[in-house]
Amino acid sequence: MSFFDRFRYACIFIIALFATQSVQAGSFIFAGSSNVNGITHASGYGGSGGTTVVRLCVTQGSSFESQMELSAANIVRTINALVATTGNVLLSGSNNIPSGNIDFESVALHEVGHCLGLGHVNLATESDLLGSNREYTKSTAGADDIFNINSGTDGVIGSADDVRGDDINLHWFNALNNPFELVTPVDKNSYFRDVSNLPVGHNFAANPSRDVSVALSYPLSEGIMQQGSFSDEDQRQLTADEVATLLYAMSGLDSTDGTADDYDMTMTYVGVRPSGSADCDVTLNFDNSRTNFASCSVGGSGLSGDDLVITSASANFNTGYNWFFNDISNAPTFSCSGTNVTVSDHVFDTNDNCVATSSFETSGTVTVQSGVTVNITSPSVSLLPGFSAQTGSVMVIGQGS
Amino acid sequence: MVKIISIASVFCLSVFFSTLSFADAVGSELRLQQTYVQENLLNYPLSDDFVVFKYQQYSYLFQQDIKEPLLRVYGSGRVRVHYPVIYKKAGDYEMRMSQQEMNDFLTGLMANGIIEYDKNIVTQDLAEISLNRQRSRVKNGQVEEVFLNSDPDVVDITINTDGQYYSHATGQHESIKIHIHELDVNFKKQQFPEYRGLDGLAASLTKIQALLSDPRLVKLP
Repeated sequence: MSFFDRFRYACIFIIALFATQSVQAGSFIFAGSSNVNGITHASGYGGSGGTTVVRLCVTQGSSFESQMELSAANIVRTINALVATTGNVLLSGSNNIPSGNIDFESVALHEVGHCLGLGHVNLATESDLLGSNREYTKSTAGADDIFNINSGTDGVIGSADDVRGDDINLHWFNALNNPFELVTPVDKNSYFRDVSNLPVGHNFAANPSRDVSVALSYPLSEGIMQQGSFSDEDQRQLTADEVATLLYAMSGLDSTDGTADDYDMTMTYVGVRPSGSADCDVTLNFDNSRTNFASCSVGGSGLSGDDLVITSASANFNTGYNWFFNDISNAPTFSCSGTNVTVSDHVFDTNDNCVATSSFETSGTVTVQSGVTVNITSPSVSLLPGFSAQTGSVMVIGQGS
Repeated sequence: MVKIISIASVFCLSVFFSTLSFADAVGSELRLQQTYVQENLLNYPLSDDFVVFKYQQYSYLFQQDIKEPLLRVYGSGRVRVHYPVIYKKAGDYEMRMSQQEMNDFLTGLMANGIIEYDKNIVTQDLAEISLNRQRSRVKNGQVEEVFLNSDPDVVDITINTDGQYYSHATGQHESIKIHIHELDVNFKKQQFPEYRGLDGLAASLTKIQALLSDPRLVKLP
């Protein structure tokens, strides 16, 4: 009996994990003073519902062409899984990155986020501010054309008590103003841009910086769209902030979940393609003429109202750095032994040991989230040792005889 | 004591007059630029410790503290390049330029107009061009188009001659203290090819990159 013959029994289990509480999302890349509410949608969305597939390619002939491929595939799975994690900052000694190296996959995940329409959650380079002032939550400069920046009584930049004068917030937040929590459905009824919706006592939208994560007592976490990478650092997992931002865009032009214009954005890794190939919506490429470090050159066009859609996106990197290319796939793998199918989720502990392995007596297509085991015989879900509660769902689909 | 070297050429007076007659026709700013270039009136402390020129390039996406500038050129002609540990070329490199090379390098930058570079004017000009483009598209029934670079490159250029150059504009020795801080010069050049206001800065950056690639730079032990 072949592997697939065993799974002809149709069975679909959709298992919700852990009740969700709240959501806060980030910013969109083309939002600014002229369109503070502007949502940027991923390439291919035309305003009607359905599935929007964003095709990721590695540019043929680029430096590190082959080394980029595994990370490209990992990034696609990470984006598609839309799993909100905490503790996603793995520092030196807790990751597989050699000292003095910069993790390509982490930087590329940030750039692919831009290529999908996500903006920085902090003021970042484009504010032209210096030092830690760039860590304040994304905003316009307001009527006085000056960023008003004051870290408030807690002294934590980017937190809820920041005093920001007439700066206009661009970071979408939920009723709790906590960027590390996720709730569904994500739409205009669950989170907001206008600070009049902030909880009582809050002054401004909090952003998912590592300092804010510590202040809120989470394990060291940082939204991947926070501008600011360090060497020897692994940030290959999403937090609630960018998951919510992507989901908010997917609630369509009306920003209302469950309506006809909703779409599912999914990425696929196409492979290595020549520059300019029509097969690609987003490209990864080393080109020193395009960046001193890393960036995504993004084009967009108006879609409806303040909403825009990505029309071109090229993530470029500079060869001059000590890049580390992750050699560990995050793809689930399958193996058969007797009547059992073993699904190895490739979840890693802090020492990068693969710790997740689940056994199935029958199966089909299995999507497994990081840190989760699924027993299909007696449907149940549990967390692996060392993993904290996560939000999301697991879908197991099989086909029976 | 800091020594001062003067590179004024003996024929500067004749050049001065020819420059003035030209300047009368084209405006005072260009006159200033021309006098720097044609007369080589650059003086600076001839010292191994006095930094005449400093250059840094960043991406704030990478956030580690960078304590030293990438490139420093000292009054003596000493050139020091520092690549932090994250670079493939990590380490310190040095070479020496002759005073003529120093002068050519600095006056070459000035010839590109970086003394007059005004970031605010460039920003306003580009905003106006963008607005006109959008108006044109709307007029022609086309949808809005926008482009940006997600994590802009940042450059800092500093020139400091410590009060030692002769300005024909004022008839006095004055200081060149220039600090240019600009984002994404190359991307803006690509997006606004019709705009000339960035040409000089872009050309200067090409000169700087050439110096960073000079084969005489030797890695220090």
